[in-house]
Amino acid sequence: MTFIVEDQSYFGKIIFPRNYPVQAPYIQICTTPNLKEPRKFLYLPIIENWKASCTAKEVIQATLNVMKKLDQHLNLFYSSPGLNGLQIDILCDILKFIDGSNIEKCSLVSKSWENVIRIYRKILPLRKICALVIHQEYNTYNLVVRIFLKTYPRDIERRDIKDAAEELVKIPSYFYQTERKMSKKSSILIPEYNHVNISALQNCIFDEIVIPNPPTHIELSFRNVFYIGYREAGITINNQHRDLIKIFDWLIQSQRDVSRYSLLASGSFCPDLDTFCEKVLSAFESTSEPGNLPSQIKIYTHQDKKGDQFLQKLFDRLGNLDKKRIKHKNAKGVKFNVRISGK
Amino acid sequence: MATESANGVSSPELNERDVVITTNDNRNFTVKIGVARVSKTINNMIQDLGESLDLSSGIPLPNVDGPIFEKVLEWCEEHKNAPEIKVEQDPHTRERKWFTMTEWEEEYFRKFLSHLWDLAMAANYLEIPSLYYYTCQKLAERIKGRTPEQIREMFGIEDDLTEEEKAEIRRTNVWCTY
Repeated sequence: MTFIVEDQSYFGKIIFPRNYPVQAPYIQICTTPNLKEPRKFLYLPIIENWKASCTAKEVIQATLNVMKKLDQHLNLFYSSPGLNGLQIDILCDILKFIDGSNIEKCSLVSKSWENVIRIYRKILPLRKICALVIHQEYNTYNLVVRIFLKTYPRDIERRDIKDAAEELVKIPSYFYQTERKMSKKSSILIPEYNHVNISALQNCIFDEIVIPNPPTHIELSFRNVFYIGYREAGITINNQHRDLIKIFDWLIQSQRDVSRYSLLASGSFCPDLDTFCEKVLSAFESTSEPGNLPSQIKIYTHQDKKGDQFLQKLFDRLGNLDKKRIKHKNAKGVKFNVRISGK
Repeated sequence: MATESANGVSSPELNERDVVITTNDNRNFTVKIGVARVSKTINNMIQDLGESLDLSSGIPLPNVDGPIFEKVLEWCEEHKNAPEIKVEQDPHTRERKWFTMTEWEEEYFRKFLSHLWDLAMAANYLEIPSLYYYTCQKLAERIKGRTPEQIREMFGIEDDLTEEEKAEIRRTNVWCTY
């Protein structure tokens, strides 16, 4: 049968079972507009509280009433300002093709777009963040977590400071004051929301409560992003490998899938770097699920005698591991990406 | 002989029969059932109504107007034997993977560029996944990389956000770069 509601027609079925009127009829609407599941049965109060005395006319009247309400609701929805008749579902489906950064930009289009994005943020795409760089703040026990949208720290070396400044996000102060000498205070120019203390770091990594829209690939690194500035200021970074060991321990102890994290170690060889590598190798050798461990361990260092010894030791050790796991390009597992840079 | 019933049968003979579809501006379109069935909504109606379906009296489409339905039919005609599309997303970023369109499809969207919103609405109502998702992708393509002002201008949206509200949105999205 065809229902006419507010000058629009819908197909539907009212199925009367064999034992009607003892059992209530079923009402099925085939073309309810804009419902995700258009063939669902309608449950009306008259059906739920069915009495044998209810007539077919009453059933049809109740169906028409509920459809009228639905129609009014849809009309209200369409007249929502700013959407220009676009359904929220459609807007969401469009936004799902767009990356997180562009979605944020769309929040500024209009109130209704902003509403849709805010409400549906949890199902919309996340922002792609290239790197999460962590280093210890001077004079404090705070770790500074910095998030990069486009640039890996290693890119900074290849560019001059001005170019790098264009790609770094939300760290404006230092790079725009190129004449200024780095002082101990300078590292605290990083915006406040990027600061976490060392105990909060675990939350940051595992519960993702500190970082909104968690990044897809996270490079944990103690390599200093202000490499150039620190070098000019003659400051060297200590303890970075020890902190890296600590973070690696957390990742392993968490017993979760931490494969989206990679660790980057850099700098001169020292016993801590040795310990770090030892830990990583042991973890990969002993685990039954290497795919859940950090996907990459990168070590950037200079070429010298200690470096040669280190490499030799590393290669000897690698001989004990499953070659496929190491060499296969896309395989997860231990992947020592050792880059030796000449002085 | 193939069954006359439309109930769940996709017999070649039935697909070759014509059905009249009436849009909300009372235009009648005579369409091959095989083409109309690209729309899941119409297909469901044909299946549900079964033998009671009167092919000549018309299936009403109250939410689609004639000019748009004409464009939709063009798509259906081209995609009547096409396999179901697979919507995939990046498991990490949740971003949908973009479809690779054929030359015909690119040309189709070029031709109807100014009707993309209407096409998406119609495809959503008619449940034509290929047209729906491809249109959404085309719209996303137009939105991507544009400033809020350009998006507003493109779709004729009124800027109803105050400067304070915009500042608040920027403050909430700590990494926004615009």
